[in-house]
Amino acid sequence: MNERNEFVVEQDGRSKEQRPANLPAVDIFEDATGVTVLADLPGVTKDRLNIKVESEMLVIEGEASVSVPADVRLVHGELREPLFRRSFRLGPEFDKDAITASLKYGVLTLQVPRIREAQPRQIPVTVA
Amino acid sequence: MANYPFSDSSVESLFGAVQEQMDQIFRSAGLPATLRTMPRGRFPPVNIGVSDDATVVVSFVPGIEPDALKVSMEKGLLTISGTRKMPALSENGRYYARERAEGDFTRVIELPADVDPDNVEARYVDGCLLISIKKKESSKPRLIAIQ
Repeated sequence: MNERNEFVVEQDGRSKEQRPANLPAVDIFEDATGVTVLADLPGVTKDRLNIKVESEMLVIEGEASVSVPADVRLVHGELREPLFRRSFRLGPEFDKDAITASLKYGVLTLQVPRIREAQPRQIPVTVA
Repeated sequence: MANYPFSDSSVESLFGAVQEQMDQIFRSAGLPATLRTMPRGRFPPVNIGVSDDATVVVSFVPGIEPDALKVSMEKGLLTISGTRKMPALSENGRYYARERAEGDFTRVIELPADVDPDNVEARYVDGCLLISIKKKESSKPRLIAIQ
């Protein structure tokens, strides 16, 4: 821990939280089972992807890497920063322990189900 | 929407004209635009690098089935195109955010003259399309010995 109480310090002296990061494009939709988040994370592999839930915040963080030969010099870069980070606030109706995540072709799919009590239910009406 | 700078965009309102101006500024910043390579939007982003024996083009296009991606090269122009489909939403579903580009996309990149069109390799890894075009043998830098 350094004097600013940060746990992660990168080589250039700045912690992961301080480095500028791209905001990955996301699609969020909800259906009967819960909320699904699709995030574009090109070049990010499972070992460089970090998804964590802290109290009410869901944080997605990943670092992209592309394997090119060492002597390649960049002449035109539209995506220069390899870090992706985005956070979301999760309400109490979501089951944080049952979040599933899968990564395919650089797209992260997160399924966040609702807790059982919060699932929408139809109340049957009896006519007395 | 006009793609060429010398055509009339017939924009009705003042706001539309400002928007068109901004679009043109953003479109012309970045890759040098020739008639054939007018960038249409910013998806997918590309990074281009050169080394002594190859030009490497990396395109960040996640979420595509590899057979929906097309890479072709003609007369020094590299064309990357494809289609991204979104999963269908179930009937009682609704979207809260739709930021990811959907549909057909095309990007045309003009390559330097010293590329060898018969020596191109393309791979799709983790959502990144890596295209490596080797340079012609005659164009590689060579040291000339002084007598």
